[in-house]
Amino acid sequence: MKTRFLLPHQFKKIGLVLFVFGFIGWLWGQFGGSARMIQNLVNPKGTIATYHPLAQNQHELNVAFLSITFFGFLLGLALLILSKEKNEDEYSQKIRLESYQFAAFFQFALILILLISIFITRSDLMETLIVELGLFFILLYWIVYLVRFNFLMYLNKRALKRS
Amino acid sequence: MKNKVKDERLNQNINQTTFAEKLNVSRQTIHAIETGKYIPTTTLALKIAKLLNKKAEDLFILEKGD
Repeated sequence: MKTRFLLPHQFKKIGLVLFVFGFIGWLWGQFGGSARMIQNLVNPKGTIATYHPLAQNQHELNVAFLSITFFGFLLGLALLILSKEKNEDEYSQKIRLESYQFAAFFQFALILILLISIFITRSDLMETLIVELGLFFILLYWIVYLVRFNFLMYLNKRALKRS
Repeated sequence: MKNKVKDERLNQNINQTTFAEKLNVSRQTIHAIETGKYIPTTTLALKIAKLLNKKAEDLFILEKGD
């Protein structure tokens, strides 16, 4: 595997911060937290006649907040995936490659199960769901890769400490 | 494939950290090789043999089924 395509290890820490804060922020926004915060900032009394210049753009502000946090999450994920380990060597590269393979099989199996379930249930809802989950499948591939790779690296570190 | 890397390393009184540093790999990699969890590439196997002043075939032994 060509590790020259990977970023230095320091990027992994930046990625972790962006990933965690981006995801928490996005989730908080999805549950209406950001909308309430924006309303409290620009129009605390909830009156129609308000003179705050941003009062008419609350929805756009909320969309901007959700977009920024989600892209922060995606950027964090990309940095986590594309950064080298502290001691990147052939063993970590082997685990990396196996994790790519595992994630690919996992994604393939999931898509297959969902397609079979469409044929069995003949549900339009299921079909719409799968089309809408397209982005989720791509994200799932990288998240499965990330979880498996880091879990195996953790197990190796633990085995070394125990020996 | 089994190997005698750990025995030979201990015979020559080299600790795992020094061994890993000289080979430019992590301690986890050395541990995985010594416990048989990982078979190194030809390059690393030859580097290990050179560092331990042994032939590669004396350190790495093929088993039935390999």
